[in-house]
Amino acid sequence: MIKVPKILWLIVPGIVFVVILMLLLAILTKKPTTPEALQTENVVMPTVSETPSAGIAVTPVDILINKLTSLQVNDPLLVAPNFDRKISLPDEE
Amino acid sequence: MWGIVTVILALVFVAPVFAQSTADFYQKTQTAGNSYRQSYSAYTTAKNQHLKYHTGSTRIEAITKTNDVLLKRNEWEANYLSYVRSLLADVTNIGNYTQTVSYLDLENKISILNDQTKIVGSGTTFSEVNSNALAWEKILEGTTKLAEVAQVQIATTRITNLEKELSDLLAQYQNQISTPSSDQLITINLISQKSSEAKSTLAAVNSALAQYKSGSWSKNNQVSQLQTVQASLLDAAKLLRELQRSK
Repeated sequence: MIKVPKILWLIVPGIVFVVILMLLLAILTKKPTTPEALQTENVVMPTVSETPSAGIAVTPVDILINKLTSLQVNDPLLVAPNFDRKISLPDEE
Repeated sequence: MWGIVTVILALVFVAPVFAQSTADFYQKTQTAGNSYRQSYSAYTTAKNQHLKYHTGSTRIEAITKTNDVLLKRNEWEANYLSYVRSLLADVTNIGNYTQTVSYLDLENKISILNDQTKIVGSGTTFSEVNSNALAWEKILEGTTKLAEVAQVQIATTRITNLEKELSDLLAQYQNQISTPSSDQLITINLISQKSSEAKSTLAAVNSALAQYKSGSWSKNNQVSQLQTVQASLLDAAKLLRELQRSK
């Protein structure tokens, strides 16, 4: 049977602890969201109503109206590639 | 013991790969798009130079620049599909069968495009370059439809969530008003009606999505239905706001 040096019994649990800590931090850290997600899900935008509403607090319905107005249905991703142009070289003589 | 250590160390190196967020893919897609446009411009110049001068060096330059733009085009599409896949996973429910199917189809396409990196930029003659470009464009035919399906799934899920928000807000309002006036009741019914119609249309869009592989599915039809739902929900939300203000 291979004899494992005693020092390893200290080092290995240490590494395991650090790795678990790093993984926990990675999981708990809030990831940044896309610009589209920001528009439609997370941001409470103050300029919601179509009529001037000075002095009126922004309500959940105002936020919903804003989300519905800013939702891009046709291209919710906004970065779709356009490859209409063909790529080719002329025939060689 | 050493097996566990190996697994943990492997996780340390593999974890960052999975930690790429949707925002990362979005950024990469933007960068790849810019890079493609620059390469396309260089390819056009090199091709025109060769058509004008027909020398050995312009020929080599034309092949090099065309190989480069083909690679950049592939890279842009692969990054874009990775972004679509990531957003689909973020926004939708992976337990939904059709969404899971299109997610897996996207995975498959991304893998095919990643394999293309070894092929598309390797042409050494004009005919090889053209043949690689044509083969890649054949892959793109099915890919465009798949990306459109994912786009509609993302938009449908977002609108469905907004419809639910509206229904919840209406229910809250109804709880606050014990005895609504006849005018309030008419408006409440109108909002409920718009909400129900939106639900039916969204169900129809989802049902069509389930058959997207059948061939008759068209993005434009679905988008037009979603835009109608969007407008109807917007009207309903504005009515609810007026109700709340007049309380």
